[in-house]
Amino acid sequence: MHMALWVLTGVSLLGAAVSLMRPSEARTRDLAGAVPVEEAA
Amino acid sequence: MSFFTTRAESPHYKWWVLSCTSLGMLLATVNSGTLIIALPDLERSLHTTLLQLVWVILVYMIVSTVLVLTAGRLSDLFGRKNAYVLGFVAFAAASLGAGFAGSGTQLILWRVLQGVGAAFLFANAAALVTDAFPKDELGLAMGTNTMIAAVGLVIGPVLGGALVLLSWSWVFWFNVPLALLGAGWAALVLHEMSGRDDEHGLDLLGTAAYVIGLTGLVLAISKGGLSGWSDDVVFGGFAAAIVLLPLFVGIERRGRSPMLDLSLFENRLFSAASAAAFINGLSRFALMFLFVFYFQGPQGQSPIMAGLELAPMAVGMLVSSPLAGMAADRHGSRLLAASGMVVGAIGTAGMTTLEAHTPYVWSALWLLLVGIGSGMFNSPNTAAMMGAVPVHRRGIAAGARVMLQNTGAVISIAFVLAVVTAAVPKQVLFEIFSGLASRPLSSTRSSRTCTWPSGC
Repeated sequence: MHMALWVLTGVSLLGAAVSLMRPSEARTRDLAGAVPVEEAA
Repeated sequence: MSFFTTRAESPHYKWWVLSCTSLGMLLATVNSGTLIIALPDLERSLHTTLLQLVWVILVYMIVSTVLVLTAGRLSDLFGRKNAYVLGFVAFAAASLGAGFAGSGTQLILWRVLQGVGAAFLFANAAALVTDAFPKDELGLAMGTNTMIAAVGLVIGPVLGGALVLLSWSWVFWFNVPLALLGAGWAALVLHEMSGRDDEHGLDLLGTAAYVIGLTGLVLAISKGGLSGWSDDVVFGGFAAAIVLLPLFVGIERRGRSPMLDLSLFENRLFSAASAAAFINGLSRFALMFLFVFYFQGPQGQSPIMAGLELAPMAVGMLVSSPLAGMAADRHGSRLLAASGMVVGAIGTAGMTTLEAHTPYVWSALWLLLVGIGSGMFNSPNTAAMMGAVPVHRRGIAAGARVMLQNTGAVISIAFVLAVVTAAVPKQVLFEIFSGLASRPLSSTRSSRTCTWPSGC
């Protein structure tokens, strides 16, 4: 079961990397002009 | 203007919408928690096999996962209010029928219908909230929804322990008045806020390919641990997944009315946040399942105590999700979502230090960390995804988010089940699932020395 938990840990870190690599809302122009969160605020 | 005015132009309307979506969220999460605790009673009353017992949970997750996009599509076509009310009604009818089930197979069939109702609730909750709230309050609204889900996760197992004292049927019948209340409340309060997107039809071929492909994959993984990896059903399941899941992507790319609109993923923010939602489902959802097994097995707790001991994870979510939602509204979601994943990873890594007789306080600490991480990730990530698509596409976008996250969750549970069943003898596993392991040790168990997490 150690293995399962370590795999789940690795998957979480992968999720962190994917989240970091995405553009932030402020620099994103979306599909049909929805206003980014920071700009709307 | 009175607070009790439910007109769409009222400044308080958004809170009425949030009350509706929160009720749906509460219904779905309480139902999951009560059912986990009722599994031992179900096994004894309906004489189910272990695989049937697991599929009582999995079939609901698969159906609600796969149909969530079709439900989102139907909601964009016929209106979110109608679809949301329909979801509550289907959930009520299925819960009533499930309580009368006379066998494991009948119960699984009722759970299919319950999954259909849940798909309509899941597909519309985020879209309804996004329609009603201004963008600078979206994080707070999503955080509140996640907080309500956490409340449901806390009270579900405890409530389940009380309901099974009456009968396992009440675990399902309890949902009926709650779901009917939700249907009435949604019919009274909600208004259609967005134009209907009637340019596209339904994608039956794509839906069928995804249903059969994902069911094959989950069946193969969940049965492989129990029956061995050379079993014909396991082989057939993997074959269906290998052929049909890539075919599904091909159908969606070329079809005129795809259920999963791949153009949504041309937006880098949406596609990366979707990938993160899938990974979150993969990394988190099996943990609860794993800890039900740990608390009732090696630690010898009763089902009710096991339910109570899971609470730190939900409490962590409860505290962190609204705070993270508000922080995301001010500072953006990217760093918060990534930090949430790292906090969750620390919690999961900490769990590898647990042994059979480790004091409970350590389990509580790691579960709390995972819960805090989940709350920090979920609301900012969802708000970012919903804020990145145009209003009339939010039904399908919300559906895509739930589908990806739940696909990760189902695969995660099947994977952990395969690892657990490979490490633990079938008889011991059956005793744990059926609740016998929390009673005085039988001869089967007393002859073994259980260690955690390496197995028995």
